[in-house]
Amino acid sequence: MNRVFQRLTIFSFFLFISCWCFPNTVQAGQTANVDAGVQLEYAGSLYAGEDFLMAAGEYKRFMFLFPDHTRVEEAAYRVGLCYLSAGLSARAIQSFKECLRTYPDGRYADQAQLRMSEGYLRSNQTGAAITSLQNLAIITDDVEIRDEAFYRMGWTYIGMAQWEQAQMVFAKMSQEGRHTYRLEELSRALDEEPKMNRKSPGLAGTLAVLPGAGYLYCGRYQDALIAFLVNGGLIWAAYESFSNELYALGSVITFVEIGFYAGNIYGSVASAHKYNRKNERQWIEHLRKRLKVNLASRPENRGVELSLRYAF
Amino acid sequence: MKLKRPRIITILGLFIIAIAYSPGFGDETTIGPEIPEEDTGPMAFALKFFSKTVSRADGRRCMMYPSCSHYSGQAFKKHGFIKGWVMTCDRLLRCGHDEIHISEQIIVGNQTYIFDPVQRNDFWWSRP
Repeated sequence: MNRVFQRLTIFSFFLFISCWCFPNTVQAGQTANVDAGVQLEYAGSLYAGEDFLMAAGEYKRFMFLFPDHTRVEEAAYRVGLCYLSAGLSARAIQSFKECLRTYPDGRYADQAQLRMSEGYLRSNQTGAAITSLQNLAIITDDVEIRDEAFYRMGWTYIGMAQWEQAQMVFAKMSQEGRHTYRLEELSRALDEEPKMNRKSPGLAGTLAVLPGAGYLYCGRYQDALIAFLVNGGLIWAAYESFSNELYALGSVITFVEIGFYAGNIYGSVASAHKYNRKNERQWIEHLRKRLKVNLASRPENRGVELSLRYAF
Repeated sequence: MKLKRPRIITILGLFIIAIAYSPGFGDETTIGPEIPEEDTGPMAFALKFFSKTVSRADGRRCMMYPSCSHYSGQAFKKHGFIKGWVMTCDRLLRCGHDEIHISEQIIVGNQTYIFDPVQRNDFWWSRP
């Protein structure tokens, strides 16, 4: 019994010594030593896996844990990029603004400005997008960045069907940039624009004096027939009412008819505008597919990634 | 002269029936934005009456989105009486005809509609 007690005492002693000598963490198992590189790598892997919001969180964690690290600006820029890729344009714009405010002359300032304009475009703020690109084109010393800003600005104008503005902006690009972005072909295509099939809203409205003729001009044959029948019927009914001395009824029918007659003119003008807009959009889409150089925004790619499409 | 009066009434009756059974005047209050409650004008009252009474009885038949009565309510609210009235008449003329082949389709619930909001018809003269 005494011997057992003695062995227990020795065992307890060694147990105490071992616990005292080695820290608890070692007893618990493996530890993860997260340094700045690993943290950034993890955030990058999340972005590559298209888990953009998690990636944004990890970039923010990096900024919090390593505020004095040399790559904090890059992390701040990539937070915006993550939001942009996640489709959260407003948050992306905010992040890029924050990045530009903190690092106005930083390495990523130009890229942040470019992406911010992309965010504006995605949220349909074309005016703000153009302003942002104009500012960048004035501020930057990098010819490639300036060319990209002009290129994006030109396409923004194309999206707004402002062909001449687009041509003027493209003309500001460097010779090398014009070659890289295949501007000769694009300029030729933009010169073809007047040949695009268009309907004159003025002519449509004038023709609509005869109910239905305006719709007919715009290729809306069913609408033309309905406009002609409804207006014709109402005019006839009003005429019959007045000729039968039913003045109150005639007035009501005339009031209704004035609305439908004006509606027929309004609809004809609107139809011409809609026809032109639809054609413009189809043409822009065709141009985009055929000639637009894709500008990649993956964080692992530095600079511009060009991909060209040729229509055979 | 006495023979002509029944003819006028017949024409008018046929016209009212045609309008009432045209695709545009079918409506349903559960689809599309409601006519704003704060609108108290006579047209808003008429549209509310139509939506809440007539439309509930005969169901939705309008194939456009928003339906013609909602479109009308939005046009009156945005542009006032005269322009709203003209835009309403234009929409009634166009409803369910060529617009089907021109505008995009939109799926609401299990139904497919033709997307034709006010801003697609006033974009050339009115800013949102």
